[in-house]
Amino acid sequence: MEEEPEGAPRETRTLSIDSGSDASKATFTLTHEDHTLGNAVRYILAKNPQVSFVGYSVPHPSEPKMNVRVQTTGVPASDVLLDSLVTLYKVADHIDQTFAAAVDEFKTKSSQRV
Amino acid sequence: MERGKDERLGGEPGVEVLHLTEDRITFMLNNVDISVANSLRRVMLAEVPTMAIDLVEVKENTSVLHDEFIAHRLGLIPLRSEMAAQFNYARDCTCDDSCPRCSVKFTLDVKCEEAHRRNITSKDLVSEHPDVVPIDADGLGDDLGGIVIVKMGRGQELRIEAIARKGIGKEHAKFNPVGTVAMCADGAIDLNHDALSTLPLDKIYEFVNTPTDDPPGNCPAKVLLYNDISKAIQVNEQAVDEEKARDINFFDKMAYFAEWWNDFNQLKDKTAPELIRIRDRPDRFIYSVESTGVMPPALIAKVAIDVLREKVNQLQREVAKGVEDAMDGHGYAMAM
Repeated sequence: MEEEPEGAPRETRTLSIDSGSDASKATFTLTHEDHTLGNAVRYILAKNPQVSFVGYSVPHPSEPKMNVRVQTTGVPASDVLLDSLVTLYKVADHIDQTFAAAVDEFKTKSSQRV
Repeated sequence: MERGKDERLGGEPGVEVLHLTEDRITFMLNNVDISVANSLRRVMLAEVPTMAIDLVEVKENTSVLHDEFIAHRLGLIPLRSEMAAQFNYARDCTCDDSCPRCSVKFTLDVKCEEAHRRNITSKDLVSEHPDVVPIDADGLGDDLGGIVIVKMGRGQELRIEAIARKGIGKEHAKFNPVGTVAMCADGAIDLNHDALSTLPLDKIYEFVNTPTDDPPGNCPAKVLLYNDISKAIQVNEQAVDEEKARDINFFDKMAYFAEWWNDFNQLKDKTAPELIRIRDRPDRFIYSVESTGVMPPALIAKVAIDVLREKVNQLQREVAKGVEDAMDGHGYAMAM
């Protein structure tokens, strides 16, 4: 049982940006990310009116790698990607706060019923 | 964007707990897209940290199972993991090999002195940490309680030292804190009152009642009511809420029921209207999370939300840094 754990150490995480000469179009390659964040980020970017194209792919399931392609109407692609991550953070943060309150509420309600 | 509000769905994400027991939580997540809802499901399955035995040193094994077999079985024993957040991952820990900050030592030292056989269970495992212990499996399977590791004959002996570490389900399934995480879109029941009023009374009773045996035309639960005075069929919303909290497949079953009755109504006349329609509510998701016993189910969901948030946070910092580096290196910003 001494095999190297798959969830690799933090320092091997890498990000590469393939953008060519035009900053409004870029492919971001993220390691150790998958559909968990990929699809959510894709969805948030797709709703941004400044984004003309967005897609993500996980090229091979046994390779811990994810590509996100973003093309915008002019603003740098990295800006909209960062915006989308801020939005997703806010969503998760809000759910976090709401969840604790919802569990407490349910517990109070069910203890009153008994 | 205010407080994680999703403009298209027009509202802040909300959570409502429908049901909570010792080993299961059912809750509804409102006003999120399916992609975000699925992220949460995936994190609960594969990225909530728990403790499990990860390193086994066999000092003496005269049982019928070979060392690797026993090591594997030890790894799969669920350990209470409420304290997992306070441990380091062994790979990130400052120690060389293992220390109390990243691991918990277990010992198993048993010899069968009984005349016939003895079950060696998770109860024979001795933990160094008072809170990281095998789950209480009383009442599960064997009447001795505990999870059977090996059965021993007279004179057989097992001496083992094992180390439990923190990990996530992505790394090895033994770290998975849940039995199942089911997620489905909430539903709604629409009745076509005009079409239903044309049914003969005996058919209306058949439609509404739930006989004990189970042909496809039976309503899966008592959620439809016939009002004798107003001569109308109603949906009992409270019963629907109770049913969907109890059974995550409730709307699926309702859809089968609806299909049967709509087919029945269209037997003679293909253009006849639908009697009942089950509609998806794709902005509301019901989760049913069953814990393996390593953590209370509400804690699993809570930790999963935290993990999801921190994953995004980390990625955000990495992307920001990556963009900065790219700008320094290749005049990336000038290309604008």
